[in-house]
Amino acid sequence: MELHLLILIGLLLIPAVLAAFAMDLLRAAIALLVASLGLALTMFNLGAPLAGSFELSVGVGLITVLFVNAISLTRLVSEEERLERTKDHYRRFALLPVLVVLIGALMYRTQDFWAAGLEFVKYDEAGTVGEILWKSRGLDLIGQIVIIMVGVYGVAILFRRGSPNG
Amino acid sequence: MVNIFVADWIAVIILFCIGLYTMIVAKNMLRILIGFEIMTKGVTLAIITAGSVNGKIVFSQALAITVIVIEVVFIAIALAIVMITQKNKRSLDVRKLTNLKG
Amino acid sequence: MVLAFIFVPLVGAAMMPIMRKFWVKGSTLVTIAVTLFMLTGSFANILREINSETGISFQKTLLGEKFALSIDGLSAVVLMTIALVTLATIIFSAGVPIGRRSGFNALVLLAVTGMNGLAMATDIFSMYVFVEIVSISSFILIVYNMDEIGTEGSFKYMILSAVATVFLLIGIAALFAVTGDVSFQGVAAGLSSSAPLVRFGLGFIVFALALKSGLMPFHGWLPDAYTAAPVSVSVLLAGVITKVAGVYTLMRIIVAVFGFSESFSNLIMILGALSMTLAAFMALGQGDFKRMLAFSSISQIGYILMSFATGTTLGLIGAVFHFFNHAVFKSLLFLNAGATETATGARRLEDLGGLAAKMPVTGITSIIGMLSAAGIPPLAGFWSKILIIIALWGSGHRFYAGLAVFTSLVTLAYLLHAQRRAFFGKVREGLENVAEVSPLLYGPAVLMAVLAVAAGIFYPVIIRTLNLLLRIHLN
Repeated sequence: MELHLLILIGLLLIPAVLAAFAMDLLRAAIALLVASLGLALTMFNLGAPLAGSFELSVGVGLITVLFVNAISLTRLVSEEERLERTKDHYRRFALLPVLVVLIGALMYRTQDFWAAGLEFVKYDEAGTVGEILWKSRGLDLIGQIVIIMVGVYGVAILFRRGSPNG
Repeated sequence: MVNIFVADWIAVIILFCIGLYTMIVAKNMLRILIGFEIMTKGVTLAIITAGSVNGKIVFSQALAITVIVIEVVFIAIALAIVMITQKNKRSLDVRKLTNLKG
Repeated sequence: MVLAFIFVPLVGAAMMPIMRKFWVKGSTLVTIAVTLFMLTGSFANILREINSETGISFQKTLLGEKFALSIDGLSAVVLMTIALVTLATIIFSAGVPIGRRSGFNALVLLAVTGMNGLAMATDIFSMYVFVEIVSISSFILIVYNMDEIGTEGSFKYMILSAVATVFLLIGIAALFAVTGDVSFQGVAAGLSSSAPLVRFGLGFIVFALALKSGLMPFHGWLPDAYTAAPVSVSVLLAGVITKVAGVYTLMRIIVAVFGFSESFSNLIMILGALSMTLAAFMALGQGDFKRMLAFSSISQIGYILMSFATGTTLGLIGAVFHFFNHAVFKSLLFLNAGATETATGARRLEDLGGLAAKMPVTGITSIIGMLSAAGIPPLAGFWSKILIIIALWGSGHRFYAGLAVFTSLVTLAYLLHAQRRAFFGKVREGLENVAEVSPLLYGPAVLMAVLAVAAGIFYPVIIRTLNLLLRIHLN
């Protein structure tokens, strides 16, 4: 296994664990950002530059902005409460690293079982991502349009002014 | 090639477990959503890995882009609902969501 | 015609912001027009399918590969059910106060777009896209009044739905890795290799859809979401959304991709029997009208999936017939619950009493709905339940058939209990001034009650029609 592959996966997994672990939600959001970065780099490495840059702009940019916004708008915890929660928090997440290592080891040891029987068929595919999206995944494009409409209407409705029944 | 597949698929399952664990254990609504985001990273990686293994990498990128768009909308709506909860209850603790029991 | 089922509601939803500026009342009229169009369109589809010789008459793909949608008999029934329940929801919601009506109508139309797409989708990835459209619009609809219970129910639904989504997508990715395709045909053709990843993918997808349809060990979100939703939304949720996004999708994926296997049938049979029986008992102890109906929904979904899991002709017909009947009588009961809530402001059963004298139309329609749900002849629910029981017995699942008979007695018990509490007996103090709700509120209930009676009287016609509609799946 190549070294750079391991580094990339580390860059993906370690921030993910940190995002779960970080007591401060803002730090968790930043760890998530780093994980997104790792994912984008992994995608580049796998030969998927377009999806990688999409993940870079959306996962690193947009989602972080949304999270930071929401976190800064909802912070109301007092200092004592915070200390109390910190102790509780680390106790609850203590099991996570153990679990990660265990599952990783288990999956690695059993790879002959679950990766067996796979015939890696090679398709020659022509065209770019845009052509594929337009020619054979037109339905997904419509789906994207619909879901963006749902999002826009939803945000407009959930942040509407005036009385709820007005 | 199989090596990359194995390594990435292990990463997918680990990300999935981290996310699920976070969603189960977390008490703060925002942290639950962060857990969901971690799981989503795993899913996107799974689709791209699948594409790179069977040679349909371009096709899988088209799928991954759709997934990313949908998850962004999901997160936006989820955060809006979290903010409404904050406005109503002044708390984001899921243990205080107990109006519906019986 | 196929594309119209997606584009007409979509255009309707896109018109709503314009309507809000110029003609607010018109938004409801436009929505009703869209649903009426869908209703007539789906009727036309069913007629064409019956009169065709081959049985796969209009399973066609439009514009080559671009929009891979198709309608067969199963989708035609589901499309009609969606249009019917949406019509009832929109008429009902026109009679209750609701904030920013055009936005509400737009979201309902978008959810309907998603459900129509789901009913016609021909690949597993589009299925995921449409499931997400339906779920995200229903989160917004549940929290529409922005009250405390709304956010709570919506958040619970959202979290379990998110978990289900991730399971679904990992399953899709596993299948895509093995078969190199995501269309139903492509995946089914590539499944010949029995790699562990295939079983892994099947397991994940089935788990995700069981979560979405609220089968018993994974049912926690369903009563909360139904109870928390505004009255008109819970009609839509209980009537079609969970059934299309969960039950129909599961049926379609098994019929089109995986086929019936022994282990799958056993698993669904056990989960279905568990939901059917336990949910009926849990419904017995509920004090909240809508919550009781929600548990009743879980129980009925158990019936549908058990019947489907037999994998026989009769089982499939029973499942689809019960799917339709359940949409009719459950939306009828939720309409009644909404009408009583609007009239009295109370949702607990002990706060109600003697309403039949005050609200005669609601009282009579709710009796019809409850008797149909409990499976009393000659109402429609009886015929679909008897089909299910015969299918279970005939395929050798005698224990489950007995359980189904027993559960329908429990169903009768809790429904009669609720009926007696809410509608019969003496008028409760404080409710003397309650009057019948406006025709907009009881109109859809009357429509559904007429349908429940008519489907019961003309059951031979319906069973013959279903037999014709489902013939391509029956081989």
